[in-house]
Amino acid sequence: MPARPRTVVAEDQYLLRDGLTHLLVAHGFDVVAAVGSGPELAAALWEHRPDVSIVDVRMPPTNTDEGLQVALAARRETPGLPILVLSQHVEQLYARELLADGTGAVGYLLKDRVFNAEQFIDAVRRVAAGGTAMDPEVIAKLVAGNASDPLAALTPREREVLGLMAEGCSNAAIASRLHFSEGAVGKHTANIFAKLGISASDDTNRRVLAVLKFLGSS
Amino acid sequence: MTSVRRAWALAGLAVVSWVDVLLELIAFALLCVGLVLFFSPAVEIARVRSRRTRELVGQWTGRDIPSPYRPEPPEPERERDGWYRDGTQLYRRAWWIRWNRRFTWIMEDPATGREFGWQLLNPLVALGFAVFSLVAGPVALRGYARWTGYWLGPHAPRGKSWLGRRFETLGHQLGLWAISVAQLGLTVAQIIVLTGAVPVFPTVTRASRAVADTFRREAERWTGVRIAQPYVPPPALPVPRGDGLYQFGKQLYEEPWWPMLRARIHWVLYDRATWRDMAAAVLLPVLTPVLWVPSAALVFWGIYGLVALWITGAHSWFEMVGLPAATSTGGAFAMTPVALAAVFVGLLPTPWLARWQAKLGRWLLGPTEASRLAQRVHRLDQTRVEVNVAQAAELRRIERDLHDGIQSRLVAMGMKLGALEALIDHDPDKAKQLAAELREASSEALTELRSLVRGIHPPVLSERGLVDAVRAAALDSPLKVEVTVSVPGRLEQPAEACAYFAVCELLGNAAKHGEARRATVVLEYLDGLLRATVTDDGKGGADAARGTGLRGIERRLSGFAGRLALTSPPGGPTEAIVEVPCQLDPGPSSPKTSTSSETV
Repeated sequence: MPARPRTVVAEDQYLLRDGLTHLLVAHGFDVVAAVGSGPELAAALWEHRPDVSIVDVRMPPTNTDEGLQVALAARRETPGLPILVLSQHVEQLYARELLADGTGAVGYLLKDRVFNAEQFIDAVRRVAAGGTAMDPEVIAKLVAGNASDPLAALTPREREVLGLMAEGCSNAAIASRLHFSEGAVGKHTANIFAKLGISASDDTNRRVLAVLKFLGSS
Repeated sequence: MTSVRRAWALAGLAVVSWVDVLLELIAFALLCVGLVLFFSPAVEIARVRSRRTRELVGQWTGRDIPSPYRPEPPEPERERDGWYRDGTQLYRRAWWIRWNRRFTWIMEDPATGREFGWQLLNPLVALGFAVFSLVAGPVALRGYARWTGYWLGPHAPRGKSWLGRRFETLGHQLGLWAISVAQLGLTVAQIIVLTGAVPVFPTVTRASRAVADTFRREAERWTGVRIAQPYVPPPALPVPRGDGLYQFGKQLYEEPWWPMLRARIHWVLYDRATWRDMAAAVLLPVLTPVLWVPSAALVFWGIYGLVALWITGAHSWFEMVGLPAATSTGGAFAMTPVALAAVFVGLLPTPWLARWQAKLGRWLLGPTEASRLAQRVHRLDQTRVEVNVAQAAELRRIERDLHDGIQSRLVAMGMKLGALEALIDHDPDKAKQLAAELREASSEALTELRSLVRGIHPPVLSERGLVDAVRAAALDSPLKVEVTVSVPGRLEQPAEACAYFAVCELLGNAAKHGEARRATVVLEYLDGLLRATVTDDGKGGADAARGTGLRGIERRLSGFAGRLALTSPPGGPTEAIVEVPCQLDPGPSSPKTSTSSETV
């Protein structure tokens, strides 16, 4: 990730777009384009190939899920193009669609996560670095539902670790959240990968695949 | 020797069962004159003796005869408000519902009829076997066991024979005729009260309509010809004016009963169906015999002829219709085919004639175009009221939620902001803490707003349409839900929302009340009709007349002339079908079409 990641902001409400731009610039991002509609976003992504984009789901002209559609189309063209989707509401359905290609570098958060600037910026950085950032609300629904089939083999502790992994936490972050050592987290994640049948490749992708399994198991 | 003793004991039991037969016949006679309460208890008492016989036969011969009865009806359950409910009727006590259910249970069980036949013949047969046992011992006992097993054991239901079906339709024709004769009787009563006691006219008309409805119902059950009701719905209860008086026409009354009576008289007198019913009651008993008298006469003549030829020996039977008399056994042989042919020819057209009889009934008792329209207008009026009421309630709910929830939260946040302003200079630490609280509060307010929005119109529904909204709901459901779709694009938005909420409610019910683990949702769109089928593997027993959620679905659907069909036998599975007539959304704002059949 470059020192000043080039960023595209797509949000149709002017105040929020402006606020996001200021927030990102203040935290060392280089906002190369701030757009307010689907077609503009498509053009900006094509032109700038940004290091990370922040995209609202609902945008003109259709005012349906234009932003999400443009983001998915761009990622089909450029696999792994880092995109963080912001929305007034979060749906598992959308989370799955974003994660479906398994290349990582996606995030899907509620708009109000912006309130906590540090956590939000952290999520943007993670996505820019190829990780994931899923909203705790999506994860909470999954953990609340009777997670079945492939997850049945996991222990409650492992499931907890997987939940945090799905949110996008690094091993260090998981360790501090659950109060145990990083080594223990590493052991748990290795167990999870083994139980879910995810073979070794680079660590980020394995995490995405594990999260995908998690999402697919509701 | 034991087998002889046992055979005689069974014979004794059999003779006693004639007492049951006598009781049942008395109860049946009472049933025929309207005293309905005694029949099913009489049959149940008789069942005690049949059960005893089955037990003894099983014990003594080793030939177990399983019980042939259908499972007993469930006990009525008390509702939370202390009343018992049967359909739309409430009862203070359970006995009437219990009796009603047991009556239907007994009357519809084919084992009841077989058992009666057994009771009737059994004493003679059992005595025969008992005498036989003196010679043959255990063989006779085994024979008796086989005979009893045949009558009292379970039978696989089987279709009726060609002949049986035709005899039955002839019976149905006679039955329809008998109903129309009964209606004629009530019509005579109507004419009498019309000339002398008009206030009683609505009551008598109602009775007459009940008979006409019986004709309509049985005609459909027996011949498949559907006859809809033509009546205009009864007038609403009188509502007092502002000054507490009741108005009917130009007249004011202090008490409600007089305007109510006038409204009811007006209702029946000005309903054309009343007069059509009366005309039908006069015409049907005269016209319909044309359709069954020839059949009945031929069949009777044929059977009478067979009896005459072979049993009573009155060989002159054929002279009745000018055929030569059969004076010898050879003549009887020669004439037998004629008699059989008479029965055959008489029965051959009965199903066709029965349908014609019902069609004649439909012509006279069915709704005219005008009454169909009148009913439609009334129904539209009613659904409009329902939709308006539901909408008003929904708006009130939203207003209340906004007022009690988010609005007060925002006020509280405003006050905290005021405090923050005051604190910011001289106590920065406290101010920071307050700011964090404020952030928390705003986040909570958003969460609340979000759930409120979801209740009004879920965002996925507006963004993606019904199909993906249902998929999203399936993902959020605690059940394992499989969604199968064949919908060629977006539909009219109100219909989408209606179907969406119905499916959500059904899935919620399956999880909450049905204790289901899996469910399937099938969405189909064909010829202007959206159909959503929700099936679950729960414990069943859902009843649209009871659940408020299901009632809510129906109310919502009524605004679209849609319908909810629910099959949910106790023990499951539950299948609910929601149908909403609607059109595809032609607007350019539907960028995506999804024609797919996939599962989530």
